[in-house]
Amino acid sequence: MVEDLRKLETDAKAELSQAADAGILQELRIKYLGRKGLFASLAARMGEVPASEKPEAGRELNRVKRVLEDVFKEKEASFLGAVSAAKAIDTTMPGTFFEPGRVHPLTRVILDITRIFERLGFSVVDGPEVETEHTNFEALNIPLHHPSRDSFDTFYLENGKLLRSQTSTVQIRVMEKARPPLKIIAPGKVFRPDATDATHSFMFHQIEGLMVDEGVRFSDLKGVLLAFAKEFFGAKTKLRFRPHFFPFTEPSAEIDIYSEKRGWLEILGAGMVHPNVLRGVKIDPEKYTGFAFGMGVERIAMLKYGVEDIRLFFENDIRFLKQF
Amino acid sequence: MKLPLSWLKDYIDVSVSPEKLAELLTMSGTAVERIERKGRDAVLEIEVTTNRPDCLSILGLAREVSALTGKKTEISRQKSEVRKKSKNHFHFSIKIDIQDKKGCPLYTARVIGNVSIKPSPASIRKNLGLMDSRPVNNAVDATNFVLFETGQPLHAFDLDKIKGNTIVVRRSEKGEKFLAIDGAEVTLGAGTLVIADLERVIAIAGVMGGKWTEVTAETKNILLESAYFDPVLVRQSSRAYKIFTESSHRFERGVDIESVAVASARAGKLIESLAGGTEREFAQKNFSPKVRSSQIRLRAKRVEKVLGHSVPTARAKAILGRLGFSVKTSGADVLVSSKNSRRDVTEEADLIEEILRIEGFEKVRPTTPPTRHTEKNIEDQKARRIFELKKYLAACGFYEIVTTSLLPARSITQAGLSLASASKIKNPASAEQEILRSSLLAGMLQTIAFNVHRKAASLKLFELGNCYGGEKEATRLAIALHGNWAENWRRKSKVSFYDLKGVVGNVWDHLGIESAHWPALIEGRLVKIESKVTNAFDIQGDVYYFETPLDDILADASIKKKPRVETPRKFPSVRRDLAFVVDEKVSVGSLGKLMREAGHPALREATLFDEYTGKNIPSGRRSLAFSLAYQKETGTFTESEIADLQRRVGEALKSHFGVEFR
Repeated sequence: MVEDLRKLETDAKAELSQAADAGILQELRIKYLGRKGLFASLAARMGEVPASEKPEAGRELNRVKRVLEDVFKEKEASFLGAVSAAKAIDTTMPGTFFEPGRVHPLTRVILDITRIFERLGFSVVDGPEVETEHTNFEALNIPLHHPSRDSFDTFYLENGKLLRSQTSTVQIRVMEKARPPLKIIAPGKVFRPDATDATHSFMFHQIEGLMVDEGVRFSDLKGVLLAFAKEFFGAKTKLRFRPHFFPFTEPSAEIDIYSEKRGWLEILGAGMVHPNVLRGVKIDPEKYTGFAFGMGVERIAMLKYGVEDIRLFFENDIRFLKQF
Repeated sequence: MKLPLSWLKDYIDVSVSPEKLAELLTMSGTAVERIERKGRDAVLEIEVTTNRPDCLSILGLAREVSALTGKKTEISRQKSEVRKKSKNHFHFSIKIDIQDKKGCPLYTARVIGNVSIKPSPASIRKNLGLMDSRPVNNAVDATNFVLFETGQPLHAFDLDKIKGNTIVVRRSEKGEKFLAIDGAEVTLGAGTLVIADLERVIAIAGVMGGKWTEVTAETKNILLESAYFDPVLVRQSSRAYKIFTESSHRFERGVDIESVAVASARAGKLIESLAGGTEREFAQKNFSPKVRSSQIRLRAKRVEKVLGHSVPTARAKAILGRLGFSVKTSGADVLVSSKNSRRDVTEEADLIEEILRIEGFEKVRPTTPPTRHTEKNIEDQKARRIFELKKYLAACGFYEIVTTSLLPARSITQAGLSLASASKIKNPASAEQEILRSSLLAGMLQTIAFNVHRKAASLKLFELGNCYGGEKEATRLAIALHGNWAENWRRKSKVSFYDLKGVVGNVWDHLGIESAHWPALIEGRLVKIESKVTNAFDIQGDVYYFETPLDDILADASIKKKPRVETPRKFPSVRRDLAFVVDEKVSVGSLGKLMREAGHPALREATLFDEYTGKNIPSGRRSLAFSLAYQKETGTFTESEIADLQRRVGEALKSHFGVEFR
């Protein structure tokens, strides 16, 4: 009898531990603790037990009954999703601490990108948006009245200053003040008189990078950009360096990223700093070499988050901002 | 630039597929944007960068293909053939008067007489068709054919319509009229480089010919112009009159001055073969200084130093040779002669790029750059702190917005700001880009309106951005509140001035500014936007707004908290409340100040915890309740000490502000 009771206890616990929902639990309750259940039928056999064993069997019968009732109760509570105190309040009502806000998705992308470059030893620097003809063009080897200016249509102010059309201006501002070794990353707004549509905006953001030191090579540019792309877009990212023309770098490259859906997509412009740019800021191009790169933040954000229309970034619809 | 494969094959064998050729070109710097099928022909659409005018011709592209595939081009053979012929005749019966020798350093005129003008044969028409160039007649088509073939623009005049048998190259006078070949009448400004006869302007140099001297079916004699015009002047004319042609596109990028006469001879021959006639005269005015080709030294070691990839000298020489450069060895180095058709190649760095782009960028293996720390920290502290502030405000429940720095004038006036001192944009592309902002207010109100119109019930927004005013660029912070401050099932409250004031205090605290300086940094900058302005933006309800310049505040060390720590007292402070009714004009600030003075030094804090007006309070007065905290240096207060202090504070309030205790 005692053995039968212990076996019943073990079996019941084993089956109970497998029970996945309240329905199964109810079936098990009937099977073990029901009026015609296994426990009841064992209890009915009490009369058959020899008198000498009766006290022990009785104790065991009571113990097993208590244990079974407890484990069923415990299991039941686990399905209700709460401890007994749960009865007092409805825990499914919404929390009432104030909701957090968000940094703008462009800020978020800028932070993510600059953090990677900071880890690679680059320092974040800032530069003005209202610039001079010299910093935006001449110092960057872009002569006046040259067709190469066509890619840099620019807003002018009435005082003769202009709104920078690329963040490369920060290269010049840094190199005019500091000597190599230099490793900078410069995010900021740029402006070009474009008509606005889904992929164009007259204001957008760029991130400029520059490294100048002895012995900096084109292969280092590849290494740095590849390290960045793998960290930002994922370890399997593939880049393609394609020759291009920028007045301020030589050799110059456009860099494409491979997308399963859309093939090669341009994401970066880069190259070795043009000797004329270095000469202009009185850095000896024989002794020092360097690379520079620039990327469009909106374009990268659109690619990374699947944003279809650049205008969403500047409308600031809370329903859009909330998703980042 | 279009490159029809059938035309390319006239000059070079191409054994690879159009797709493979497109890839070769793209990966060497002349990017193929797409491949267009025209019948059995494939036409590559190429994006030619502004430094490569040599690639704006089929022959130039054939040279690129040659460098990439190693196949020889037929270019050299053809050049020598036409050169020999052009040496024969030199008559000067047409007068050529070059008045601007800088604007036109080389001008050639070739006269072909007795032509019969008719449509070109199918083969020419087909080639022009592939270039999307409309066939006109055999003479004009010959000039266009040679333009595409060699990159040298040419123009055919009807010789008999040129008055006075004279070609004048000069600058226009203001108001001169010109009838363009497309029929448009152009009133010229002063200083445009033009071709004229003795009476009138017959072409805008390098841009477009004129109707008055057009070659038509009746034309008998042709004057064929081939020249070199100054790229800047052509660019200025083209932009001034908004006429963009195949010709101006090439001249403004710079044509090869050496191919001016060659192309003329080539076109002359083509006209003779298509339109009959005979070449009668060839005249040339050359003022271009004899440019000696300069030698560029390519150091073997420099290639590896710049690229991190070594190219054997023999291979470098072979690549440059195939690109048409004359190359010699000088010790370990290579000497390369510069050439007119590639004026983008002027120094060693340019040669290195030429070698690498033919060799292939993919050959360079990525490396890790040398690590040397900068001696001076060049990190921008301001940039870092602004990022930190953005993250902080977001954590406080605010959404960062980024609005455009350029705004329409109407938004500025709607926001109640003055246009008088606004920075205007000289060349906006639309009315949305007229004004460079001097404040963040208009952008903020636009954003609130945009969201309110989309049923947003609670707006907590900030923007950190640069503004421009008084010739100075400055970073500014704007924070705005609209609608509900809390909107959950336990708490609902409208935004108030004090919600915003609290947040601004947090901002100053985050920036490490001593609280004693906060009032001065908030005064006048924290406002409720006037309903006249919110109405203009169609915003219902209050907008609380704070805007401040940041640069000076971030830079000012004198307002920063100085870390000094006070050990917390062993004994807790004693708290007592004080509630009274007072004239509503008496400020909480002045009451607090008085209480602290009266209770000094035991009174540490006097904090407002309730304000009440309305029932049982006479109008013009309000009931205020303060919590006062007393603290001793050592030990605890007795009940009578506290009662004493409370009395002292109470009497001060009575005598100064006439408060009534309740």
